[in-house]
Amino acid sequence: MEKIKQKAVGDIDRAQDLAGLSLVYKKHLDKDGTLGCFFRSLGELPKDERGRAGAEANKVKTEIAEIYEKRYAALEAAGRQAEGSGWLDVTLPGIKPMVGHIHPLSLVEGRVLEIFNSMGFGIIESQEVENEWYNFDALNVPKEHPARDVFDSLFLSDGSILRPHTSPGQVRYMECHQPPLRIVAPGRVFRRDPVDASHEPNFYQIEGLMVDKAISVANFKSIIDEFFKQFFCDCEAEADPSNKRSEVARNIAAGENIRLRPSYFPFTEPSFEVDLKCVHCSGKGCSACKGTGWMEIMGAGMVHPNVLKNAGLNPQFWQGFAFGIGSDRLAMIKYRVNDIRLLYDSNQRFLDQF
Amino acid sequence: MRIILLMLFSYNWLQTFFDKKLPEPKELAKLIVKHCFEVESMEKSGKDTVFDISILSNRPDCSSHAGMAREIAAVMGCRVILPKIKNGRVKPVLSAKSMIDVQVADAVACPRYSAKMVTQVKVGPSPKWLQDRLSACGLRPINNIVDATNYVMLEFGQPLHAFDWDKLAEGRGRVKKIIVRYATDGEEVEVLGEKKYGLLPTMLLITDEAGPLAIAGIKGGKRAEISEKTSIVVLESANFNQRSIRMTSRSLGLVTDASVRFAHDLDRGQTVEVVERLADLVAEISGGQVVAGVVDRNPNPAKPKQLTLNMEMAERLLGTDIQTARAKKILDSLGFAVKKGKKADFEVVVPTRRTDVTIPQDLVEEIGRIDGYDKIRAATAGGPILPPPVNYFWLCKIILRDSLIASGWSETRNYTFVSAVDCRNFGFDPKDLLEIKNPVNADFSYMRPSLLLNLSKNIAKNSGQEILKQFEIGKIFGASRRSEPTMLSGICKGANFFELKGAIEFALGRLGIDSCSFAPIKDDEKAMGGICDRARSARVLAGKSEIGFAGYANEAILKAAGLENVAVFELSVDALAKLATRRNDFRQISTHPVAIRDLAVLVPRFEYAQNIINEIKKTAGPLAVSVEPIDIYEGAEIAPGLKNIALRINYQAMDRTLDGREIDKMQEKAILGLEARGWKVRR
Repeated sequence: MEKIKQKAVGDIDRAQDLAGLSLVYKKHLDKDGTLGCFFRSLGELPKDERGRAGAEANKVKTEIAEIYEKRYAALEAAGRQAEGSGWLDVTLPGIKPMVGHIHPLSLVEGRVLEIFNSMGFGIIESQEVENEWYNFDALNVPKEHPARDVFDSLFLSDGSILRPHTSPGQVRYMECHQPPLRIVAPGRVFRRDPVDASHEPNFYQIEGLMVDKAISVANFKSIIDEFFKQFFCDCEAEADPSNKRSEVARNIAAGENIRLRPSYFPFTEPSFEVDLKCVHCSGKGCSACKGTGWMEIMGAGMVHPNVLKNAGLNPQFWQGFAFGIGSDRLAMIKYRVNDIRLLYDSNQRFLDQF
Repeated sequence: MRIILLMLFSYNWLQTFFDKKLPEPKELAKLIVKHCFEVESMEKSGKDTVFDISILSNRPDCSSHAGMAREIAAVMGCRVILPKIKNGRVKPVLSAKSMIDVQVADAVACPRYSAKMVTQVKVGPSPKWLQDRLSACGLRPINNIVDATNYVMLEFGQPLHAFDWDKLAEGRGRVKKIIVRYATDGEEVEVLGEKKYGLLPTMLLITDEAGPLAIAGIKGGKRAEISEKTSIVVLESANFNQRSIRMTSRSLGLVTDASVRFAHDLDRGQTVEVVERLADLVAEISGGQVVAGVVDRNPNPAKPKQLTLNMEMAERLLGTDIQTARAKKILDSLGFAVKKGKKADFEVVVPTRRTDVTIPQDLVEEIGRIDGYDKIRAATAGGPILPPPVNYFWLCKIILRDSLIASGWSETRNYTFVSAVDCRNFGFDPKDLLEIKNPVNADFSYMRPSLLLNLSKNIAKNSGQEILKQFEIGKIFGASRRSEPTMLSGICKGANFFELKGAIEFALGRLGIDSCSFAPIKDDEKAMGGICDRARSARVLAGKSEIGFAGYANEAILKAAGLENVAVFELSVDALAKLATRRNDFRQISTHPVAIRDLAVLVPRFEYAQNIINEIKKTAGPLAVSVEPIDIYEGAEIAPGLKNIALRINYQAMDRTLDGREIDKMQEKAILGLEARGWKVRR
């Protein structure tokens, strides 16, 4: 039996093609082959040996058959490959689907709003052309106040103003809604800035507002910290640990990512400048953060009692925070875009990257 | 013009306000950034270090070394030592009153005017230490008198001026007059530096009886300038209304160290103390004699404000516990007088220099920032978080955007601004548009009346692209500022009208608007202000309401833009949002086979396919589940003026397999219907 097996396996291995292999089949596995003859010879054995020898022969037959099948498959594949069919150059480029691309500012707005949505903030929009009341007076910016200079607004010939910030929307919203309030208000804003690598006369902000009985600076810190964690971590923390950006993401996830510095806005009291730990160097100091380790990212503060009053809310009962983030700045940080003009240039080769 | 309080501070000078050593410059800068103001830069200057600090616009009191020292003291919890006023070497015989009189025409524009005199001065260079400090802070030393005024300004933030008393017009006896009044129209003043300014009647002047001496609060004049011969000086320490100074400074285009400070809400309580300090310094460095007394016009003295600070409110606002003793110490160190009031209240007296502090919340800010905002631990807001209401308009914009992306269109964001030439090229009269009074440049003079004006420029910008399909969602503006319609517009090159139409139909379908149709533009209608070529464009309808237009752009417009064969569309997102149902009801799928029948019909060349389809649907009945054109031919075998349209009709029933005879009958009806319209059907 063992001899038959050795012979058969040797013949299978030596077969160079499918034709050769079928001869081997005939020689060994067919009815009249070596195995067939062996099975027939079993009848000549004494009865008590027949069972054992039969079982052993069956086992060997199965083993040979398996080896045969493997060889058959291998020779068949080799044959196909030689003919040229059944082979694919998987390194050729894929066929690009004809889809368009979402503008990076939309991607940023989408993500920001999604995060705030998940924390209970609704989305509202407000008008781009404003009047003096909503733009300045209601926001506690008196006439000829130095704070008006900061905005350097564009004025229309009919006396109205292109909003230099999204804050007027706060007042308009509070006028017709009762607290508790949680909103984010994205939109286009305008300033009299000549175009350069970091200024555009129109750009985007996202205003945030949260008002209730006891919304505090501590609450603001918590919400904003959570926002930045989610915004800059996304899936990056899960990515390749050797990747520099995931290191950033981990650092951000780890703790102290924001700091508040004193600032002044007429519509908030106290007012802060919010700095984010530099996402490029994780706070070590680099050219992007001018070596400080921090990036100035938004203005914020506790809604000034006069603003609440102007919107018809009693500041004795209600308090809360407001903030304004630059969407362009977020996009530039997130995608490492070094020139704001790229966002408004409609260059298809830029858009194709998003 | 932005008027910003940016100031250079000398580290060595700041050190003079303290008896203990200040932290190293780098550490000090960190403290200032954390608790007070942004330090823009820091530079070594000899043995000194100079900080460039951006003072917040509500804190003009800190545009001085004394002011900054007070902040540092509060942060470090130590004491500030201010220079003592000696009032020394007073010449007893004379008094300021006997030499000078001050008249103020408008106490609103000039709330306070204080003048003091020093006689027997010797004008010359100032001592080196003083020159060094001025240079470190970016001021050029001139002579000891002028330098002293600048020095004390940098010390206390109060702009000061010195006049040569002998050059003032003679008055009655020895008393000379200084008059603060508005300019007469066209009145001229020659200022230091040989420049002349023509003035308006809204501008405030310092004059004597002969004419202008200075532009109030902005710049001194030539006439009473300090010279080497000067021996008696009049020192001016005044307060001017910030609005008046801003307006004058702006319209003259003249910004000075004085005007920047006055343009902010400066303390009028300090003028006398500061002028006394100045007189001391002038006497000290010029060998002069201080004349006794100050002439002070101060009809409405600044009164310190009183505020009640409730500590529970403070804790609720900051969201943290505040040690009462700590709060008191912080306020004390900033110069607030604090007394315990009722229960959790403090009664706080605000020093007049703190013009920014008007409500208790302002005091909370002082406590918060000096203690450090980093001490406030983040805490989640209490109360349930409810899912916010869905903003359907926003959602609608997202759906439109995503659908267009899926159809191969890319989103862009273009300027809101357009030029007069752009407007005219697109058939808009600039007179009908919103104009910007102070545009960044002439190309940005008008508010876009259509997104297509700027979108069309993208084709030239992307000349390397064979196929370009771009869209934008944004607001457009008409002549009235009341409406700001939101539009969705697209422009494409290298794609034909039907791709564009397909993209629109798909997007509208996603919004649940299934009644979208494209109607020809009638002869008497202008296709969207003439942007489109009427014969090759359509009105886009949803049901019966018109929601926009789509088609090939007018040749004239394309020529002006150097383009050809560009298809465009513009849809009203406001209208779409109203029509969007977001409904997508499932339709039963028939399990019975479809029977396909084709026919061809000869129709006039300008017949619309939709009319033929409608006719077939009408006559063949509801089992003709679809009728679609499969080929259009005009040419050799067809009579001129006609075209052959081949159509495929699918017949299908929900409940049974249609038999041949039934189908033939329907097909016959359809043919008869077409023939009844006078069209020849080729079976």
